[in-house]
Amino acid sequence: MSGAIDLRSYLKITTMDGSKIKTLKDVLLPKLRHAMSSSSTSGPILLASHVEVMHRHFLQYYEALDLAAGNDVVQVLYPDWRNPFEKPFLWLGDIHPYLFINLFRSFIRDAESEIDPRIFDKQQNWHVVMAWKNTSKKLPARVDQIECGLRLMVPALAARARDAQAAFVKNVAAEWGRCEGRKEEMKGVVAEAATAEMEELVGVLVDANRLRRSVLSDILNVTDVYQAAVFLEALAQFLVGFRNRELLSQFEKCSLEL
Amino acid sequence: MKRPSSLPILKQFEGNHHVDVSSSKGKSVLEDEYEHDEIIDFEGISTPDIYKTIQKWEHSTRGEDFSCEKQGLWRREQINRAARLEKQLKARWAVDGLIEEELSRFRAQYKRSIVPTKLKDVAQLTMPKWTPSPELATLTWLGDWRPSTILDLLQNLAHSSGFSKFLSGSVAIEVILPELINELRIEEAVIDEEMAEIQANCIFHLPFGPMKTQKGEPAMACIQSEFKKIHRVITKAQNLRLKAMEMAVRKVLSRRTDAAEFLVAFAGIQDLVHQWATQHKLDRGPVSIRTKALKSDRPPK
Repeated sequence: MSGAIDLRSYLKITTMDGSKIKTLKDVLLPKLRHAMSSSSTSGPILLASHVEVMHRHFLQYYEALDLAAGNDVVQVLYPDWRNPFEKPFLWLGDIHPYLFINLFRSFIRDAESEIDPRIFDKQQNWHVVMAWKNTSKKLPARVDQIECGLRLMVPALAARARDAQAAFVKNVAAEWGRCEGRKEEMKGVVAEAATAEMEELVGVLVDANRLRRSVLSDILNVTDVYQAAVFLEALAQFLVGFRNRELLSQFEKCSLEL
Repeated sequence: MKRPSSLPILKQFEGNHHVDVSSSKGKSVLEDEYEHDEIIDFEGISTPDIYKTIQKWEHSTRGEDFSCEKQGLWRREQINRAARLEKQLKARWAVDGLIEEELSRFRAQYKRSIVPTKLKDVAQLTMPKWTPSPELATLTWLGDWRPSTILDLLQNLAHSSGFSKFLSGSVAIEVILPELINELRIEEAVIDEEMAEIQANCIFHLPFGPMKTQKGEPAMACIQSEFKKIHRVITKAQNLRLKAMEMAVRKVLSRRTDAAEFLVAFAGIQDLVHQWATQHKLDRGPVSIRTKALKSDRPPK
């Protein structure tokens, strides 16, 4: 870990997420879209390389979050650098891993529906338009398999985070009685118990990111290059959407009518 | 003469018995001294002690002459004793009042936070700006104390030395409390699942998802609808917190002094965590990260 903690290194993390999103928005997404378009003449090989670059981008992003968590897990779990629009949609520091599988399923579901004529407005390559129309019969079973593992892991991770809090309270409560609430003695007890809790939470967060990475990789392993491109394009567009300035300024002003 | 039911207890104070009094500092001893109007925990007086006192009182009055002088003395003592009893009662009412005040403060806090006016306030409910983030990580779930952790705290306090000795081994602590904790954990998991459903499906409802061409609904209306769903889940979480606190104070801790002792510990521990969190945030400073990792060019796994 870098030992230097100053304003500049602070900016690194505050902009880390931002710069990653910016790269996604300004470089990777347009390149992928271009490779998916009908005007692109370079074929599936170039598309495959763009798919791979974007996949790697996501993997590196989660690795970066893991590293930041090792430094201070609190700032990854409760990130100041995220805007109030995206904060409520975070689960253990980032998007919920169910989202990947739900998006994936939506394409399989759409395979049975008619082609939306609006897709032709996008001027996409014919293979891209048809990517989800001829899916393998085995695909739904493989999605079930991926989702099954996911549905086991998510509650287990939530329970681990809960148990870490319970263990903290246990350690502190045991000493509270003995110290009869004497503040000075209790301060050390709280610091020690909290440090142990944070270590456990780092583990939980790293495992949550591992789960996200593995679901993403599993999905890309069972899809062909055109399906992968359509999937990643939708995912990237969604993530970039949270940073849309115009929408954000409307969001800031918008009231909540209950 | 019919004896009022309170007399044995009055007699208990008159006699030179030592009475266990439970307080936050543990045991103390009450002597029969009229000038010392200490606050007595009536619930702390064990039943055998009361019976012994009744027997003693009945024995000492049997066969005595009922002279006017004795009756006068008796009346004065009675008034005196009643005054002291009244004082004790008032003190108990004061404790009851403070406990109720504390509970209504929790109620008000959760209700107040339940009415955000702007969409961006919803983020303040899940990650409140006024709570240092290390404190959020240590104790909270959806913005405030995790309900089951409130009862975990009670369970561990009850088993710790120095806390009210009446709790450890009691049915309330050993049987009822674990059941309640389990119940709360299940309810938390249900709420987690509801939140997960929203977080996992928001991609289909937010205006920049792949289904963005939905029926011409304005973008902000879609966002509002998602935030309303989130707000409903947070309201459930807030209600569960309040339920946990009321369970602790009303259902598990039947003795008011125990309830008071728990609330004191709860506030004390929260304060200690807050202090640690503030310090941790200062010490740790903003986190740094090796940018090298971001530039690494490893192929995807």
